[in-house]
Amino acid sequence: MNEKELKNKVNSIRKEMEKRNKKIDSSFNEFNLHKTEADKLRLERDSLNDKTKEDILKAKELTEKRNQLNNKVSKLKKEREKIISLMKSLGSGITKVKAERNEFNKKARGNTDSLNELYNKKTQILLEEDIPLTDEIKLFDRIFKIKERIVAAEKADKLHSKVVEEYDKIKRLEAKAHEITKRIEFAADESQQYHKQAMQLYQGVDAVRNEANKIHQKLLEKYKLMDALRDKISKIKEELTEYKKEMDPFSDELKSIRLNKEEKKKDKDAIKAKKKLRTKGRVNLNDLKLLLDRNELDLKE
Amino acid sequence: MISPTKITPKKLSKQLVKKHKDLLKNYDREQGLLNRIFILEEKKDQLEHWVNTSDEDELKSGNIMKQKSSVDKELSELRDEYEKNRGLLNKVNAKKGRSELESVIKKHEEALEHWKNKNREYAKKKT
Repeated sequence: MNEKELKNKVNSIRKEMEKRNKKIDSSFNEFNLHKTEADKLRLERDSLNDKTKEDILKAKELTEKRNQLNNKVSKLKKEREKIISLMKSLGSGITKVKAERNEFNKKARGNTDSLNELYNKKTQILLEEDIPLTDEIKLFDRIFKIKERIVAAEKADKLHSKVVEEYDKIKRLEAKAHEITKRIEFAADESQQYHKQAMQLYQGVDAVRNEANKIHQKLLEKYKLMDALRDKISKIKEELTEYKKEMDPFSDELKSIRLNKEEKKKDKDAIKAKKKLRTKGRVNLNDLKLLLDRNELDLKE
Repeated sequence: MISPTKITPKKLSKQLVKKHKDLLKNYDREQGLLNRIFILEEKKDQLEHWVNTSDEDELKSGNIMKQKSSVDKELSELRDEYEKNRGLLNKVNAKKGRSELESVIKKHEEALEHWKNKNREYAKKKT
């Protein structure tokens, strides 16, 4: 190949290489753009994931508090159930005792005081007044009937006191149950608030997590694009290496031709300069340098 | 008085026995007084009869009048005591009172007997 052909060949290869270098530059620019966006997306995703973790932690704390309160409510409810059951048992006890008391009241037909008064009056008549035996016998029997009534009235009184006592117990238990109900309501409200807050956080976490996932998908897409670009650049670089390999021999040959050519030209110039020096006795600086470089000039001369 | 919770037929019948015994004791005393009043009233009638039928000399001797005065005094004291005992405000008619009292005493004796028997019955029942 002559110089021209070589030059054309080298130039043609260089053009191809330049085209590829431009492609590499363009791909790098594109890659960098994607990288900037990917970095931004990653930061955004990580920030959302951090927020998710924080919110989940907060929500767990809230649900733990809610569960503690729910346990407290359960215990209080059990306590109240016991009290209510005791109240019911006392209530049915009272019904029985009242029925019993009413039976004694029926037998007594009067209260203890009035019956005692009647007893005293009749006993006084019997023991202190001068009355016929027939009346005494009647009174004698009457007094024992009154006694039976007094005994019944006293039993009724005792049962009534028991009823009142049991009612008092029920009232006290009722107050206790009422107080527990208030505590249950208070704890349940508090628990509900914690539950709502936790649910709100979980809902928020889901939304944030979805958002983070979306961003993650975008990021993966970016990575795909970046990987593709990286592959593309590598491929072009390989092509460049190939082109270089292909170009190097031509380029070396061309260089060699050019060097020879240049050497010949220098020889010619040196002859001319030597001639000029001989005829005119002086040379310009370039010629002088050329002569010196080629040792064509003896400074002793 | 026995309280209603402690009273029993035995106890009450015992009390009734005591009541009738006490009443009979009082009535006996009353009967004694009435008998004495009855005797003194008879004596007073007799002395009044003598006062109305005796001459002045006999009366002047003072023997009848002394006796009458003594009878009047004793009668007055016995009537006071009787009234105090029975609490009566009316004047005592000894004749009427004696027969009534006898009937009353009889009834109390019957009653006493009744309650004594009852008491024995109740004691037996208890054992």
